[in-house]
Amino acid sequence: MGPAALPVYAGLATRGVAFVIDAAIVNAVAFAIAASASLALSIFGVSLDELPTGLSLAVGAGGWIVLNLAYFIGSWTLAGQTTGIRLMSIRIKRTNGDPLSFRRAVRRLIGSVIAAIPLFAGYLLILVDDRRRGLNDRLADTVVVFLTEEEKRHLRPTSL
Amino acid sequence: MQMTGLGIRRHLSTRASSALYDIWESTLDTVLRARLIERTTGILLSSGVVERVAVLVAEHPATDHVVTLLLESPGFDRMLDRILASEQLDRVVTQIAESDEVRDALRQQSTGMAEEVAGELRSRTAAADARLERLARSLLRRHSAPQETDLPNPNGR
Repeated sequence: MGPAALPVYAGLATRGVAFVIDAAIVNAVAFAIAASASLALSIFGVSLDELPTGLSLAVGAGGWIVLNLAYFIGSWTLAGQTTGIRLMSIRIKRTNGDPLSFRRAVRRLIGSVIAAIPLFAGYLLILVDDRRRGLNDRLADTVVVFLTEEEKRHLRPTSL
Repeated sequence: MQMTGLGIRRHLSTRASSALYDIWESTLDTVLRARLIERTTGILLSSGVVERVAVLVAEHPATDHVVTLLLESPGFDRMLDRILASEQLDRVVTQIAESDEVRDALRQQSTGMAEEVAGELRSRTAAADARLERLARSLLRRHSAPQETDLPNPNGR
């Protein structure tokens, strides 16, 4: 058996595209849920427009946040990948190679929000870090790497 | 009563047409029952024979001439209309479209195309990763990262 191949870290463009795909998926699901809820409420003669603005906002924003939490934390913890990340053939893991625990996934998501607040400046660290780590990766001690050929073969039966 | 020459000819022509139509119908039934068309189409599509033959025919110099002659012939439109309106063609198309072999072949082609598009996207973003990084490092006057100088292709291609 030859020496293990060095990991190839994913950069800003690859991760950006993966994030755009994920954002599109989450928002499409959120839209579908909102449309379904609106349809279900209409059966009882209730329209979303008739609800108080504060309540609509709270439910909408709350639902969206919960959906994001479930999607990102669930995907990172269970597979180390979201759909967008999988499409780009990359994976998130600990710097020591272990998969992410639930707690670490939460920490990474919080880090992702913090990194995005100052005009996404936290992500610019990816451009200058030797392992292409953003602020969220540093806070959660994670790296984003391209899948090896063996990992790709292993994942292929269920991939797109 | 005696039949005239013209009557005999008409009678024979009608009988011949009817017999030919019966033969055509029974042949088509046999072919459809044996699922011959869908099997053959599936095999041809998955083996790539169709593509190879199509390229060979398309590149032949005589093809252009034959196609032009055919398209400009007066009987061509008439024949085409009859074929398109025929019930047999509908049956053949339906049979092919519903066959598992053809559906599998189409599914495989779609999957292959999606994988190809995703692979191309990955290659381009990986190249963009390196370009962005070089730009940022040159702006900050930092040395290149170790992996940047010898970045393996993430697609393994």
